[in-house]
Amino acid sequence: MSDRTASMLDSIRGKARSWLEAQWDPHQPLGEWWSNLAQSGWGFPDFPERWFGLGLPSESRRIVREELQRVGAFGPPHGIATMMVAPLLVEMGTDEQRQQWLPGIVDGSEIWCQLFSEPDAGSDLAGARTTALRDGDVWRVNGQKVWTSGGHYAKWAILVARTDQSAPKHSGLSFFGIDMRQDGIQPKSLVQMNGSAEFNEVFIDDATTLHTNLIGEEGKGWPVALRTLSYERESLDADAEPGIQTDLDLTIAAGRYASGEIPDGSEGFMPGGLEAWELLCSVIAANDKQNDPRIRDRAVKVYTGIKTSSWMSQRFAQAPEVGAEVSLGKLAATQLMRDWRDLALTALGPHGQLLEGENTFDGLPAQIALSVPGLSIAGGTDEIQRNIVGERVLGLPREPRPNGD
Amino acid sequence: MGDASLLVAFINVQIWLPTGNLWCMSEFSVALNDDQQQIKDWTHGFAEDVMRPAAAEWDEREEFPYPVVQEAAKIGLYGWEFLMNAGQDRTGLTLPVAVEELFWGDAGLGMAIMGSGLAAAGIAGNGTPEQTMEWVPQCYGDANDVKLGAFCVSEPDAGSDVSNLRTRAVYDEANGEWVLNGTKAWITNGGIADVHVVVAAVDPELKGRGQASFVIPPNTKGLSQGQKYMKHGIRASHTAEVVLDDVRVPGSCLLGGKEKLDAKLARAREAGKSGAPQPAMKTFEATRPTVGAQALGIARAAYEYSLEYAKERHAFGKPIIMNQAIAFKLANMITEIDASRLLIWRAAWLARNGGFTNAEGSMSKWKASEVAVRVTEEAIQILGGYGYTREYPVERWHRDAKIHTIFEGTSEIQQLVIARAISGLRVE
Repeated sequence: MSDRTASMLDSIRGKARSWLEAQWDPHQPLGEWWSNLAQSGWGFPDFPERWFGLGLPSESRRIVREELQRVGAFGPPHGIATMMVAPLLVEMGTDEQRQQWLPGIVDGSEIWCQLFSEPDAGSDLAGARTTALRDGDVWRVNGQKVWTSGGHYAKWAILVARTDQSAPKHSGLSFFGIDMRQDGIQPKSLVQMNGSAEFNEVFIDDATTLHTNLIGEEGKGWPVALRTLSYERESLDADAEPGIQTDLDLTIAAGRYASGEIPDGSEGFMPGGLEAWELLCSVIAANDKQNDPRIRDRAVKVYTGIKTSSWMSQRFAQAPEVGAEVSLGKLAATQLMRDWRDLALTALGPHGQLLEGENTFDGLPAQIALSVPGLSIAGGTDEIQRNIVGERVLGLPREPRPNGD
Repeated sequence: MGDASLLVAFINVQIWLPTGNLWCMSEFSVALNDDQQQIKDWTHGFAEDVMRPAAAEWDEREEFPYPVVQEAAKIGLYGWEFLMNAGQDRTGLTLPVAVEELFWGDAGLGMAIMGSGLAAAGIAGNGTPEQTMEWVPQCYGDANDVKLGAFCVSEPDAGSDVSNLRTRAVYDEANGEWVLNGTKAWITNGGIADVHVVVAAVDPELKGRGQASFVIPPNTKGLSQGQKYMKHGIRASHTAEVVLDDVRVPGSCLLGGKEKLDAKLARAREAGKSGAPQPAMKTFEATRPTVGAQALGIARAAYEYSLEYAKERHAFGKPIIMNQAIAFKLANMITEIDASRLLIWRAAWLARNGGFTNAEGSMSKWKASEVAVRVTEEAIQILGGYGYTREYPVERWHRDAKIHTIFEGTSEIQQLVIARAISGLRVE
């Protein structure tokens, strides 16, 4: 890092600290606090000044996050809306779409989900069969989606649908925003291995969305979808915060969420980075395994992975443009959590199989163990990530495409 | 309660224990004979028709599946007669073959059916013929009145280390009774069993050689269930703590009898050591191939399911098995499964034909349990998002697999046992 860059980041840190120290009030209702963060630009400092940001480099997010933790403040809303939709709108949306959707995203009042995967089109997302047919000013949507996180409480969704049946499969898709709260859209929860039911099947029967909700051009939804997924992969690294924004009560004091007094929906998710390391150390120490050379050896491997993942995500954050390399970060983070799980369960012995009780750390390691197999599937399977790395990072010959497009 | 002559045969067979030279050696063969094939088909039928359809429900309910165990009792699968029949096979393969099929059906239900067997083995392995005849049938009851047995060794602070038990058994000479105090942990059927077999320290200074096994009859005062464990796998099998608070049992409940125990303790004190293995360790060592077979059944279930899925599921215009990334996973899975089965069968054969020389029982359990964890996780990956939901069974198989790397000796303990066996040194 150059002196100039370091100096700039120090300056950002100083300004963020001053603002947070002056503004953070744990008694403020969550909705007001999020609105305050959004209006000031400190919630999403890397967004343009015109769109709730400060026009700062993406590295500023990490700095603000650290400063939020320093004063004990609750962070900005974090979910599909802020992680995927907002950067997409900033980059590819129309001004009308930004005005319509960004305010509800940055102040957390409107939750989004994604209607991408289908029962027969998961890894093969471009094989989507859900159709959208133009009918005057609206598009009529029919089909079935699956793996829709938060679909049962989201207000809006981003949707990939086939708008041209005759076009080659990657060319016949379009990308929309669509209102989830209409009669034609029915979510049904799916219970996961870890017992939670965050995902949904979504049945779409003659739902509608306005033509002005088309994001990007008609028939050119595939590159929009790929760009959106790259935002997601970027956020699935070891340093990331939970990716799903749950339906929080905006009238409750923000400090009660910040202190953990009221669950903020992140409990079922993986601890990230050093938090995961600290939990692992506690597990090892509590089971008196800190002097076991085999445990120590594996712990060093996990620590190395955590630090490497952290540096990798910092590198992505500093890069002017993030491409397919984010798949490397996702693969690394997934393997890291497998190693974390295997070591924690070894240290815990039978207690690692329990979801509650003494010496179970409130069942968190067991919950993580039940959640880890989902990491190598959600957001693109490991196999798909390796294809992406092979083709777009290493420049290897493309996988044969049976449809020829 | 069954035919007493069969029970005597059971005692003589001592199916769970290495019998060494009880019979002449049998040939080792990977081709099942007619009897073994028949038992395999019979248990598979039960697994497919009764266990598979009930598996998800009992996993969700997390209760002991009495109706399923009752069905098993009706056809003779739950009962000491089944174990005895399996024990008559000189090759030792019948039991692992049957257990693989049961756990292919469902591990939680399989454990519920097999759980009483450990108590029966503890009784048959350590008790007199009279004690075995009295107590083993009471571990099972019959189809109209199913009973359960529980084998209680592990303790909260001594899971894999069974040589330092804190549960004490003190003889009250005046009343001719044994008084037991302590807490047992991770006990299959603990607290809900009719017959508990408890391993306790009589002379703690002698560690494993100062232990003895006791039968705690039904409704004995002072024995109660502690916490029931909320597990993430094999949830149809009941696992709980057992609390022993001044539990008094007649002298006749000491397995093997007092005379034998006194002689053993005297020998141990005099020599400072005894050649006889500890009761608990003896049971564990010989049951490891059977535990391996449990893991093997789970792994095979996941492999078969994911193979069919990979052939049927189309993505990018072709079945996903047409991608090497998927096909090679499956090739690896079946190779590891077959390797596990060969290790298990070898160990089961050795247990009946000359005994282990290089901890082959531990090898088989270690390999099969680790394979089951990996294979079931790969099966989830092959099914993708569906594999991670409770709409499909592979996630349950993964949850069920992990415990096999932990109970009856963790993978680390198995490696220690193997390392000691191959080196002749006490590797720590």
